[in-house]
Amino acid sequence: MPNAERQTLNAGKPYVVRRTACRGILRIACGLLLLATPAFAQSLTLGLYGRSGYLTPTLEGTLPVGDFTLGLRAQWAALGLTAESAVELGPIGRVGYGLRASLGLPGWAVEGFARGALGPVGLDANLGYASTSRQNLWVGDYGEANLSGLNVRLFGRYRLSGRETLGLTLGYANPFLYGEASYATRADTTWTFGLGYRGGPYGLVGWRGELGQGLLDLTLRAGFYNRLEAVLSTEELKTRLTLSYPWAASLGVERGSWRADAGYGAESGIFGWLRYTLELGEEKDAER
Amino acid sequence: MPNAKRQTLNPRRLLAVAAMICVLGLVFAQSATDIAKQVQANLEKSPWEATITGKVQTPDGSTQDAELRLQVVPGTNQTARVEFNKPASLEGNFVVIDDKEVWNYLFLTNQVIIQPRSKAKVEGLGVNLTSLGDFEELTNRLNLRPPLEVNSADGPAWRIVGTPKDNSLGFAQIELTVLKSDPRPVSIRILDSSNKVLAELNFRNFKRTNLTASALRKRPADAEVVRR
Repeated sequence: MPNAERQTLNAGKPYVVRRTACRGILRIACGLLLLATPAFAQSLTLGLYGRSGYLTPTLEGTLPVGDFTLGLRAQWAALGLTAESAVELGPIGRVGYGLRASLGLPGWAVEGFARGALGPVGLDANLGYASTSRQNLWVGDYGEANLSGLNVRLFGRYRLSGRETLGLTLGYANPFLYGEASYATRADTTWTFGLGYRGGPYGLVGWRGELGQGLLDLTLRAGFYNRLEAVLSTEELKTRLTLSYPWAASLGVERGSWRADAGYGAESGIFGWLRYTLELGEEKDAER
Repeated sequence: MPNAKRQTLNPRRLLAVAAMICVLGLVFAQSATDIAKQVQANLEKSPWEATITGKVQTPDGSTQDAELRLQVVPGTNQTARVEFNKPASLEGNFVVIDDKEVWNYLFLTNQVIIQPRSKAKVEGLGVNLTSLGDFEELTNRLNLRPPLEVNSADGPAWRIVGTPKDNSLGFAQIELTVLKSDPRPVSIRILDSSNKVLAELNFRNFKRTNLTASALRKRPADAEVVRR
């Protein structure tokens, strides 16, 4: 009868009970991660995210279990679990795949994904459903990834030759369809040209190449959809900038174990997110 | 004459001849091992690189032109890197292998997949090309036949034929041509159990370099690192 009692009590105080349940979920998650650390966990990322009227700690961790890697991400009142694996084919390619489930006070979400390359073909596919805006379950889901409902995305690439690649994106993010076709040609630098449709037609031009000691990747989409993305990477520092119209912008800087993101969006307003990653086990050897 | 015939067929003499053949075989087998040791010593003198061209069989059974760049830094922190120029579908991909780890870079996904060496699959094209960077390890896993003297495009050479001691190498026979004047491989031919050629490769543009292990690990700065 304890369950019946709890249900009766909960009926009068659903928010309190749900909040308590979520606290419990977070406690269990933290407990699991602490148990797994440092013997097994690969990495543990601790963060603090804030936007107007909302402040939450964030936590991300990965744990290899056999051929799978289990992932956990948590924020206030929401928890996401991922199981992923991959078929490794050496220099021929690989196919990674996984499943993520998220649960929290605001709702739930599930998502399946596959990403990989096999010889001349590359594929990045996602299929998911969320009962609420995804940012309520994970603050890192910006933009169209933030929409609730069905979300389908298929990004395929095909190498015409060693230097030329075709790309095709098709997607549905409730409630709109979108698509994009592109052609990339690579010499010392890579140029990408394309056309897309997202509420209306737009054009795409991209450039990727060495810039001093760094590598710059620039993509501009303009027309009915307007967005500039720039990523400048060096061995020590990675900087990401996005600028969109209707107005939204974000800037991210990653150096060593630290990562800082800040920006402005129509839904989130001004936000900031600071993260610190603890590399555990053999991970430290990766960058020798 | 009948006596002479009887002498020829004398079982003791036959045994003696057979024993001599065995001894000579052992001497030649030792020579093949010695050549392998000379090659290893020569390749361990300093960092080097070479272009490898030829044909390889892909997992689907078709044969493709291959052009690879092999770079090796010998020593305690031995590291080898294979960059793919051909086939076109793999251009831009590379593999880096050291004592502990294997790095696989995939151009299409811009990912570096890092795996422990014991777990990694590096053959991909039917043979583990990175093993060419560690000649002694490769020949230690082979039963070597007596070497033959041949003329290669680069000059007088030894031809060494070996069969794997176990199934882990993924082929049934390997034929190596080793230059006499500068002991290093100039060509390699790999066959499966039905004598089908899995790979036929020539070493070109061999040169000594001042490469370092960290230089061989160079990857695009924006590549995603995936540890498995």
